[in-house]
Amino acid sequence: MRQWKRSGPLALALGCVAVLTFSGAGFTQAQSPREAEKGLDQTAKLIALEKKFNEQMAAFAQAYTAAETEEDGHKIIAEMDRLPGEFAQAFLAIAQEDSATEAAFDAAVRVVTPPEQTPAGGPAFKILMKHHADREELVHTCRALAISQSDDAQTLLEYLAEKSPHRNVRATATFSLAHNIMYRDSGDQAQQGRAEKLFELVVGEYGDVEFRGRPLAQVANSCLFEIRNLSIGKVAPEIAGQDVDGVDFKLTDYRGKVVVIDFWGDW
Amino acid sequence: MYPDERSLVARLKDAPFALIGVNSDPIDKVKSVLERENITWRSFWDGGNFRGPIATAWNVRNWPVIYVLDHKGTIRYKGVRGEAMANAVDTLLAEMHRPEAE
Repeated sequence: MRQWKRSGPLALALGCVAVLTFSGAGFTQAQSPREAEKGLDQTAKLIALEKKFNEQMAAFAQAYTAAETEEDGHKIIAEMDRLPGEFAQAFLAIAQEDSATEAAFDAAVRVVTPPEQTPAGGPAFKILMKHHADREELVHTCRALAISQSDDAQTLLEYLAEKSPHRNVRATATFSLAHNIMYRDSGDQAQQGRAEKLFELVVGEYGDVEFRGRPLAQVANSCLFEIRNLSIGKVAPEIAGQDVDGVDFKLTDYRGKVVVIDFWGDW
Repeated sequence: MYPDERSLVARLKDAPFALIGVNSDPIDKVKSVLERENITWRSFWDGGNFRGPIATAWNVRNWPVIYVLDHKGTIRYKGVRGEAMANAVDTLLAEMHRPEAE
């Protein structure tokens, strides 16, 4: 591992991709996503496309490992970050073939799960809402949508929060909708007020439902603190602690300066 | 990420600006990372794990998390990274030099 390389979550993610796929090939010539699926039925197309996606991720991981300079490394990461977006249209095409099937559901979920907004997102969200809204597996999708940047994510979450036949899906959709509004905080007071009411609803109605190993009441209460004290326009709460050398200092020592607070770690 | 932050800190070394970290790594690890990545800015050390008191109080569950405060300590931007972070800081610095509005 060269000095400039991150040993953190990225390296971990790269490692996982490399283990999950059996591409022994080097950095293969990139093919267009659609070439993987000629003459196959919907499920086989989905499997072929997933395999191609995983192979390309693995190829990026290998190229990253082989990169000589920090600049090359960053270029590879930037290309890798674009991969889900480039594949989104191909996954959507599979989902559109026969939108009510299991394969269509899996393909549409693939399109909407990454946080970035892509042009394929809108139609994929519509497929989920029209053909798959009663599925309990959507609880996983709801969790991922808590940090989605897509405008359509909130529409699906609103729908599931009301209409899903499963209480855990309604609970998770309500929480994720509130979180999504808070997460995309643009300083709009009315939106933050709406998120606050939704978090209160989660605490009152769905507090016992589990969310990533914790009861939703606990998670939603932390979010209520965040929205009331850490929204745009609030004065930042004091931080008092020690630096890495054990010297006491506090956030307000820097009043009078523009301050970036960066929660970080190298993992 | 580190390069964005390094260049921001270098560019604004004479400006009324500070980058303050809140670090969640074990102490020997953070010290080696500071050296390896040439990190010159100050960090609160948050107890060596994800569930440190500062990260917990600030409801941080997905890292990294960025807040940008103006010179009065008001939160003005959240979640800005890279170029957006640099633009946010420049906007607030410019605001400081303008006469008080209203």
